[in-house]
Amino acid sequence: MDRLIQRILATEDEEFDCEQVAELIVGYVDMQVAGEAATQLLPKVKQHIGQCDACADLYETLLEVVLLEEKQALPDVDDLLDEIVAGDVVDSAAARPMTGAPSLTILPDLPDERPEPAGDRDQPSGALIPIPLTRWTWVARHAVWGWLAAAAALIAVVILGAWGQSQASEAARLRADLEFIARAERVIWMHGTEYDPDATGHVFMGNGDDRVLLVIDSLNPLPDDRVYQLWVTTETEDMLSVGTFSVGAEGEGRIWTELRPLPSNLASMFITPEPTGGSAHPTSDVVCAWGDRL
Amino acid sequence: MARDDTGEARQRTERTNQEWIRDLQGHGSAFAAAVRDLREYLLKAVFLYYHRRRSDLSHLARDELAQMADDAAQDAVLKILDKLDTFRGDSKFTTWAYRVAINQAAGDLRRRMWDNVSLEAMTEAAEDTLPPLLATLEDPTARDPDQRITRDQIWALIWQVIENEFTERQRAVFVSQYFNGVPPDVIAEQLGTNRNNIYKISHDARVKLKQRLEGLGFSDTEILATFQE
Repeated sequence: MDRLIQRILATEDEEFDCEQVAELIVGYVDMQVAGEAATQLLPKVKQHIGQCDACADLYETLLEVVLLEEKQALPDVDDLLDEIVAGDVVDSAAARPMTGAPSLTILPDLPDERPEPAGDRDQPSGALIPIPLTRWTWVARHAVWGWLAAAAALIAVVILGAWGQSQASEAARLRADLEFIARAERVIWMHGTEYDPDATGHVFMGNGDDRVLLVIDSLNPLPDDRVYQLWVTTETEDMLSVGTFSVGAEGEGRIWTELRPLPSNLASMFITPEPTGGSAHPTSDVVCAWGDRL
Repeated sequence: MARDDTGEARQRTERTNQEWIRDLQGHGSAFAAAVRDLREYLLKAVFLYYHRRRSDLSHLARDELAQMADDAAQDAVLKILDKLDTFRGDSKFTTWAYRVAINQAAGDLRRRMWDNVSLEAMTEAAEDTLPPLLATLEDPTARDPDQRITRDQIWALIWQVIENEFTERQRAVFVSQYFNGVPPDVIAEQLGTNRNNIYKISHDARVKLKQRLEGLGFSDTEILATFQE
């Protein structure tokens, strides 16, 4: 029922109807897969998708299929059929730690705070910019931001690229991750610091979901006795450890947590290398960060 | 792996938009290979759609599912061939084709699931059962009594608007869609209209509810916080 309330509150006086979205959805998905700022250029498509389950269903499947095709990772139909008939629950598979990044330790004492309401989230909004389809690419390159589309597409491509040779079970986890990413309401984009400038990290926060997906790329691999540790700080200067994790040989990592709601007043997120088992406080230089730690 | 005119193996994804159109508008082996490749692509899209809806399909046997998917992919190929000249080339051809296939699969599944449902009976039943249903949602264990009161107030207002301020058509659409989860196409079919009109009716209803909620004097954030408790 809270979904109904969200829909009522997100209602706009002028909305695209299903026919208008049907005309645009193919280009919208192609833009997302290309890492372009689809949600900024076509905010009313995103708004409609939030209101219409039928169009959301089409959009989410289309995005999934196109991303998989892009990486030549479309699954075998027999595998899919097996999973459907077996009633395979991909969502729970998604909660398993990634292959190659096995250890995520959730520290126990996070405060029980309410998640940030959807109404406050930094979603792009505004009127449709009437741009011919053939000009989308040019305009997107000059767009300031469109975080959800760009980040979701980029990270999905990173995920798929890193696991291009994935097995069927891994493909199922990928699909579940993509479903989560497509529905994510907030994305925090972390950048590498001077100590690891190529590193990037994205934290996807769910839609009415306490799970958090951390996707890491190009972090320097650490020796066996070291792990990375993710921290958050709040505007009231509390510092919390979110957990520890390892990365693969290419510095990649895809880590699920089931955090209780993150603080709504986040000031920063950052990663430091720490001894195995984690530290009570950061003991090394920050290698990747968002917010006032960058 | 598909083979081109020269018989050499090639990745299907190597076809450009122009090559897809050329081959699908052509004849002979190039046409046959393109149709076969397209059908393979679309079958995967159909199965990925089914995979997302697997909870609705768990009662079906493997063979039945496979046949459904084959039919959907085949119908989608025919539709694509039929309207090939409407492809404008401003997106990837396969993305455009996937949309047709996913819509086909969704339509087939919808017809299977909602074939014998009476919207009228559903709306009448909902009107009898919704107030008690809503009452059960008023969580007595909510930690903050003020939030509980706010939530009750909001639900009471929503029901009052649905019952007294919606038109009969708005009520039928809104209740069917949001309380019974009936897809808009099914509602449209039963009301003798199209999905676009259903969206517009639903939109007008939401606008009305939003205006009335705003009249309560709470901010959106306060309302959402109340329901996220």
